[in-house]
Amino acid sequence: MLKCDEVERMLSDYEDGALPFSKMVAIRFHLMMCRRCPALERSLRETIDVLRALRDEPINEGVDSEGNKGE
Amino acid sequence: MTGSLGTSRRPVPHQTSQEDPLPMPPTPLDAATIRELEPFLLRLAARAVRDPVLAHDIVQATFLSLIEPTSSYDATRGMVRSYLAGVLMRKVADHYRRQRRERVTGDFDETADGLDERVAFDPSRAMHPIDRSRAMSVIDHALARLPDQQRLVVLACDVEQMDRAEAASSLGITEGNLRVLLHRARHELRKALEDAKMR
Repeated sequence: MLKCDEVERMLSDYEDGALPFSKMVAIRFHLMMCRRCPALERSLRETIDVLRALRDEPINEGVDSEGNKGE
Repeated sequence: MTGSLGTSRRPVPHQTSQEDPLPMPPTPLDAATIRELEPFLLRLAARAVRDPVLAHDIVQATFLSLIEPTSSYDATRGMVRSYLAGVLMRKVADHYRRQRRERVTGDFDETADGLDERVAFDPSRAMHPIDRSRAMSVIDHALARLPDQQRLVVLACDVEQMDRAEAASSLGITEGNLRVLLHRARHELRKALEDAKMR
């Protein structure tokens, strides 16, 4: 079984389905058995969902490309 | 004296003629292409530079790059969308460099040397659900604070949902490098979201 830190490093690829099938299955299995990683996976998925939803959101012009708030 | 303005003017796209001393190569830039790709390029540029006027300028310059004699666009090598996204990314990166020179800050992270960064995550910490609009605002602000390359990778892959190969090619990086940058960026953004839930 994969270790948590191995899963953590592959989660981003897992969310995109960008891993070989065997790794996808191994991670799915780990997520079913682990007490810690499912919360991490949910959190990452939520982040990606929010990013995808940003596409159609108006841009916050009060923030420059370095995160500084304008006047 | 004859005016020089008329003679130095570049031909309009598609108006290649035999008499033209600088005949333009056939270009995929037509009204339909512009209509189709402009919203995508504008979204990408606007979120990358956070300045609507500058974003328009960058998009315009991006389209113009297709009809410049120096254009390296090759229709046999890929879609015009990927080519233009690549040109736009380079223009945005130039803007970041100029901005950095002016502000003398040093957050540009081009190294992406591995996935060893551990991101502390403790599911036992008390979390407060936050609504969608707050989550979007938190992520949007955190996105603006990411190192430039990470920000561009997230904008391409997650916000605009380009596939990884297309995004990597547009950014001029390998898919492996893109994978590392995306991993790091997503975890930074995830941390920002989790931190917001703790407040």
